[in-house]
Amino acid sequence: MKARRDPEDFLPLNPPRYHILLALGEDVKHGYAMMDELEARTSGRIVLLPGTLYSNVARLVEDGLVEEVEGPDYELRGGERRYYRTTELGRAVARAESRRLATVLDVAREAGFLDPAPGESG
Amino acid sequence: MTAPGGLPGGPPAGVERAVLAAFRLAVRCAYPRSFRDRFGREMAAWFLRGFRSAPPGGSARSAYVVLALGDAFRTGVRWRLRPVARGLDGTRIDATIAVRRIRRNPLVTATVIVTLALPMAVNSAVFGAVDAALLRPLPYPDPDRLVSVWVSRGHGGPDRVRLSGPELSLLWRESGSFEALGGIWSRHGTLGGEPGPEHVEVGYVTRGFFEVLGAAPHLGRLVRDSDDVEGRYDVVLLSHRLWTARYRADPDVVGRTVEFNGTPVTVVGVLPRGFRVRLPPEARLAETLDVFLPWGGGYAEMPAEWRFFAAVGRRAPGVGPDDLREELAGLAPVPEAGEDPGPELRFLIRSLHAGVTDHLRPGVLAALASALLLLLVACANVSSLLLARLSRRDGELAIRTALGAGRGRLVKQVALEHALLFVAAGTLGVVLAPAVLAAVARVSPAGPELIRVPTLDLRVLWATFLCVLVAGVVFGVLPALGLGRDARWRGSSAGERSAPGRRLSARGTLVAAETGLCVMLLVGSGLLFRSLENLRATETGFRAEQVVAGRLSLPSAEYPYSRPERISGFYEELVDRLREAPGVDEAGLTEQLPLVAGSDDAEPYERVGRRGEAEPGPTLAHTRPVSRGYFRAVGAELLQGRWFQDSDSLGAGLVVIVDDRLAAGTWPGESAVGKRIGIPLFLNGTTSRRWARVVGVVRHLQLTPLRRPGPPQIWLHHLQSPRRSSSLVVRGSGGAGELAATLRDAVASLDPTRPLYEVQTLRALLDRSLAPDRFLLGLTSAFALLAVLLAAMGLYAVTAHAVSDARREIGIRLALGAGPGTASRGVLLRAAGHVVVGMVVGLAGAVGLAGSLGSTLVGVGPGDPVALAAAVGIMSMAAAGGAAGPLVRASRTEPARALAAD
Repeated sequence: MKARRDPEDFLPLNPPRYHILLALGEDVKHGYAMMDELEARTSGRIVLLPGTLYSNVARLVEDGLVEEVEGPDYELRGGERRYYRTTELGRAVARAESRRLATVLDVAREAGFLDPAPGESG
Repeated sequence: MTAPGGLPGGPPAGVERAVLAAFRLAVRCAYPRSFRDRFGREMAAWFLRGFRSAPPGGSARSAYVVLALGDAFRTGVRWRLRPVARGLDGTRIDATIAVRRIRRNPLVTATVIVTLALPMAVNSAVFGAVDAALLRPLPYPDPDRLVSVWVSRGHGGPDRVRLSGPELSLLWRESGSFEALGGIWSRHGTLGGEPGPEHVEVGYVTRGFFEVLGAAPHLGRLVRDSDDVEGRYDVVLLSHRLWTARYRADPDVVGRTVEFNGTPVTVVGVLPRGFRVRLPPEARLAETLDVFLPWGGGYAEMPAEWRFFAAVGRRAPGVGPDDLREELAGLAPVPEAGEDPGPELRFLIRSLHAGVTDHLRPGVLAALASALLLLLVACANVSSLLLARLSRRDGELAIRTALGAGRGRLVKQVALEHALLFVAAGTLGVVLAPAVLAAVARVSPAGPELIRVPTLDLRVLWATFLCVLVAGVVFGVLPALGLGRDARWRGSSAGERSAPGRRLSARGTLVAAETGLCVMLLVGSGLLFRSLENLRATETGFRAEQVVAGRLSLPSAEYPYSRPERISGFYEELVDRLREAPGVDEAGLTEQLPLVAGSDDAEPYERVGRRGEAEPGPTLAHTRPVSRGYFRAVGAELLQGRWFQDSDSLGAGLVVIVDDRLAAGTWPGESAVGKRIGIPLFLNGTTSRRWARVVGVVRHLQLTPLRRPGPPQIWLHHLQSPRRSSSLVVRGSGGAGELAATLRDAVASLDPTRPLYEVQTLRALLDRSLAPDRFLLGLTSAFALLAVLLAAMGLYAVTAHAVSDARREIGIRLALGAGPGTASRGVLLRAAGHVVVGMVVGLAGAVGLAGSLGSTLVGVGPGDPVALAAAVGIMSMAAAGGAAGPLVRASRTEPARALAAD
């Protein structure tokens, strides 16, 4: 039996993998869609080049954070396009990494390197 | 990464195709096929989209292409390497754990490292010696093409004899297979002038000699062919050492005239630093030659008896050793007068490297074998200790397995831990190696060649690394592989007490192995001890105690060979003064001191056949002059006839004294006294055949080093064949220092300008002759002692462990009324079993291995019962000593306590 892995084992998560997990969210998406999502969310400031994108997708699949599924146009495109979905472990890892980054940001704020968060009084 | 902007306007189709092809190529090169099959299309599509969306016409598109290609390469390579990276990451963690464990157990760590470090240091040092003595190429260009050239004479004479002038001349003339060929002869000489007279070792070289060795001068020039001309005797070449020491490295010394043996000669050059003439021992050169002079031509006309030249040749390119042998087989050496020019008389060649190293090989390899055996014993000991520790860690390891740690991971961690211990020990060993070498050199200042060059270079470090690697894998990693094969790891409680029997039996096997290895070492040193005893007991024919010798050379200018009475007059006067000196019992003169002659120092002689005709003697013989008192001074024993007398003078009939071997071989069953014998007589600067009458028979004197048999001897009276260079010998009641002073005073009183050199006792000569054997014996004995100590410690540990395991059984037996001895009998029998098995295997191995000692042993075979019995005896005592403690403790156990412990 394969032992269940602790999300903490994956931290810190490297930025491309974190972005991929965020871009996937709760949906089923193919590579293009993921990158569209990322571009849209970051106003085009962050784009992953093809090598970085797919080698990280492959690592996420290998580590069990993301799984490959049949997408809506799977039959239509002859299985050419691959679709992915975040696994339960992947979501846990994304949450854990977000918490970690949040802590880092809190520290940065306290140190005066970052403006207070909206809603917080300066 | 900067995002490509979203500006419209696609690139031309041709450009697009080209960059896409480039991208596909990059992906193809960088990623494995499985990855490409899965993601290749999507990657290409994503790349194309990025390319199209980059602003056209400018640098943005080019930058995108470069970035994307670079990214594909980088990520592809990382993808390929990720199993390695993951493994390294795991190893780093395991190594951290291993280091932590090592630091947490300082006692075990220290024991392992200390046990291993010294044997490893010894091995490093000995390998350094092996490398220096046997493996390194000779320090000359293209050393593989160098050969030494000899004459084999047959007639029971030695195999390798130096060449005569006519033979050298013949080879120069007739042989086409040498690129260069030359010879050398060494003698003593005296450098005069500022800063005072100095005794030097001189190499007289023929043309071609330095060419063969490929020497280039440090200053000036070497000896040229034009210097090597008869009658010219006026140039000299200095060694770098002499140039630095005597002439303070003055470059102007070249061209200066200095005095050599009373004659002015011009310094023409200085040899490079470190240049050393290395020829086989049969060449009989002085250890360090400081002055080189050209021989002075006239080779073809020299008498065939003058076998002066140790010849070396450089094979021409493309000429193999066999080609050379074939060519030389067609050329015949020049027979001496009275020598049979049959097929037995022939030229021999031998690789120079083999000639220089072969005599060192058995001793050096024996030292190496001993050092390796010691290391094996140490490794077996450490392995046993590590196994014992694993037994104690069974509980911990079982818990970790139960918690999900894979067996492979545990094995890896334990193996890494053990390997690190070996590496640490190896490192300490290398650090200690120079100290070991220095210690060995201090213990043996006589300095056999074995330890002459203590170097620790990269080759030695590599050899040590290899040694650590093999030892670490076999003795550190393999025990770890046994981890987790045990059934109880898969179910029983971690608190179970008894150690796995399999591991104990593995330790028993290690004890047996240690015992066997120790027995091999003990047998080896036992054989060497017996051999040394035999050597010591060699019948030398002289009494070494209270005899001091010193050598003197008279200058040719004042004492020419054309005036033999002047030479003999000087020495007669000197010997008379010595004899009258206080504290001197007897004094004499010889051309050849015992124990230092080469076995090739022999000439043919003739006896009178049945019908009165001259016929060659059955062997060759040393033919050397001595003075009247010499035999009594060295304590030689007269067996028949008389000693020399004053009446055996230059004008009187030629007389000789022969040794018992020559007498027995030449005139079997008859008395030699009164017989006539034809000998080469050196007089007036030439050698001629003359008949002499035998007046006495003495016991054979050991003129060659102890383990080398020398030819029989014919002794002449020095009045009838005087030599300029002779050794004075005095026997007296005073100490060696007083006798030496008496010698010096006597020489100074007669001629204060003559330096007396090589002043030494006969005892020192004898000791020097025994030094290599004594050294080897000391080395192997020290190794054997250390190994036995380790083995006893190993046996102690294993027995203690076995007793602790069996204490319940012992307790029950004691409770049931068994005597203390009977109760622990099981443990005792097991320990004894391992030791006996080890001894049997060790004895068999020792007999096999001792065979390779071969020529190192004198008068004792590999199966010598005394050496075998001594080894078994010593090992039994050590084993009994090791096992006794735990067994005695076991027998004193109180049954109630032993049982309560459960």
